[in-house]
Amino acid sequence: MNFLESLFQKKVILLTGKGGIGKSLTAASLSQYAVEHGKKVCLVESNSQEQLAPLFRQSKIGHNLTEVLPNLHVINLNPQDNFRDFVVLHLGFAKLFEKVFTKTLVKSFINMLPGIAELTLLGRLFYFSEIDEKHDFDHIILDGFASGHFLSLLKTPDAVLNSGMVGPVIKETERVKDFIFNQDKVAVAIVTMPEPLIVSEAVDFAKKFKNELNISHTHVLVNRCLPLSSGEQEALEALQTEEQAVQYLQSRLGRQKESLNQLKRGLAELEDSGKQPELILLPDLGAIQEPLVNNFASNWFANASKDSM
Amino acid sequence: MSHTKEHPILSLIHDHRFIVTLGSGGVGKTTTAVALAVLAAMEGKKVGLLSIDPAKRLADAMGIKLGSALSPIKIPGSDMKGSLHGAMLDQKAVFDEMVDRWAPSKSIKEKIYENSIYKEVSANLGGPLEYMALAKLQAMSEDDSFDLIVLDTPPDTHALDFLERPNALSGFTEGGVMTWLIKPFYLAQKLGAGKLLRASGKLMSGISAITGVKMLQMLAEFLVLMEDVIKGFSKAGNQVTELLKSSQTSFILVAAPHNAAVRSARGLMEELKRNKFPLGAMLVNRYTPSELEASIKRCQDEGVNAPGLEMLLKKVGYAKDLTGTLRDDVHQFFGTDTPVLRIEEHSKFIHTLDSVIEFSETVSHAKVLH
Repeated sequence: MNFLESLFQKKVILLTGKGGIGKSLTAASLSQYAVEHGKKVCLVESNSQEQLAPLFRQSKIGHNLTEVLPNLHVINLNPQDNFRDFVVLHLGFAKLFEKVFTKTLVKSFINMLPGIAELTLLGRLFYFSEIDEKHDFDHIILDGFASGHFLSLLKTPDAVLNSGMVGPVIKETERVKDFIFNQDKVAVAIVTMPEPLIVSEAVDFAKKFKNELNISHTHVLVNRCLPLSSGEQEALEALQTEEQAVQYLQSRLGRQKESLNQLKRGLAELEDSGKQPELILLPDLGAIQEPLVNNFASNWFANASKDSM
Repeated sequence: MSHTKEHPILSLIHDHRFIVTLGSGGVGKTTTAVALAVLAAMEGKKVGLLSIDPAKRLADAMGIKLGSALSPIKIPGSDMKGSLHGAMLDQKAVFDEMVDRWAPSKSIKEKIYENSIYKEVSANLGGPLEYMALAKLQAMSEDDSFDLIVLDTPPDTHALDFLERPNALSGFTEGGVMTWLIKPFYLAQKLGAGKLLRASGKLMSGISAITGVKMLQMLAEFLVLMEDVIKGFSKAGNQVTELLKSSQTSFILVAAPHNAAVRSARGLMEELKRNKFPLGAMLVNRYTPSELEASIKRCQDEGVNAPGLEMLLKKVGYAKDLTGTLRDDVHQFFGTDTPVLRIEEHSKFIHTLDSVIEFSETVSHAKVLH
């Protein structure tokens, strides 16, 4: 499926987007798809309410890298354990950690020190991608936070670098920052839906990524598109009936067309070279069965399309 | 006197002083909070609406300003018997207001505003807005000019943190872990550099090995400056926890019929139950209308071959099943008296005054599921 190719050219894929639009399902599907194409994947979330586990027939995954399918490892990172891993694995202070950082202390430390939870999360992504030779992952996929929180996540390295700290933390932060802003390695993908208000938020965020973080190329995945070919769309539009179900579909199709145009216009403004932005349209499945069956992603993506202008 | 039974949403508005909307991202939580506030104002209440969810367009349309001060919201053409004021809380503005309220002197206040850690924490942090909102809620609860306060909570998993905040906050002051750690360090620093690390012990030297000594100095200064403000926060946090658990408060859980939202709703219910917070009602938004099912069947029988009908049929069934699950969960956790209301999917997006008023009407007539 070569429309996903440019996304999978990057080792690390960070997903973001408004809540409730299927980010976790998309992240899980990208991972399943990559694994079925021979890749080894680390799929990450950081969420007090685990969303990935039930998609892979697990009740709870927690902060343990768990192989849910051959070559697909999932972890739900939490701030306390991240902090430990960061101090022990990145900074090499294993003894110190054991002696000094009691559970309560770590909790207070995280509550107190601005940005430490975010920094250590980015640090873990760096670790899985660059340091973890044992697993040697081909892809790291983050089922990321909703847009606003995601933006502050990516702003954290600079905040830490400007905080007045010195020493090992700063060195490590610099490394992490270089990694996360390396656009040859890391892709940011915004997940959205073909509804006018929701795409306008997606465009706002793409603008913020560009203006505030200098991340210019974001991929956009449009979830829950009506699964209709252009011929079928025309047929639907031509139908004249009082039936609610048909009118419902017609009204959705109208909003879909309007919002895709709006999205393309908004994104085109961001491109310097006049290059057309690339949209990946994912079909609405109506209902999702949990856990995901084998080939779920392949079937879903087989019906996806690249938006043609 | 009306002799028909009042709609559960109207009872909630009439019987409480605080309404808190909760829910995972994308379920229409902010819209619901706004609709409830509008509805209450129409019912004659003096309403204060606090939002911390950046639904910018809706706020713009309503004339709700970013900041910590509440501004009046006029709804043209409506016969609003009460009044409506709203604010979209801005973290820095509320933080500044709290410092202003609790800092012991003008000079300390100024030092805090100038402190570099304060600047960073107050403006850029993801977390503190939530306990800022609690502090603001507590401050407003002492203000008689409002008889109902509607608080909208942040989206996604933050909502859980939000409920845990008051305790996290008091843990960090009263438990005093950081205070007894950092304070001696600060004093030791005053005694002279040589005694510094000896006085603060291996713990502090351990931390400083990681962050550098300068960070600790700054942190120490910050904490000492903030001592009274933190105590104020902590007190407000405890008071607000009491308020939220009292019969004056009602939580409204907003959900939507898809797997992830159902899971989040269940998590939030567990959290509410564990913390003994009262659930007033659940609102299931974005319900795919059931009448569509009959319509789809008719289309299929009559050979109307509209593309997409098959997907739609699946969607209707999915919405029905998951709404049933949500209702069962509410009844299991909070008893069958807790109303579960269903609101059908709108084709219109609610981002104008007119659409908010229309949505308030819909909410006040939402179907109650049994």
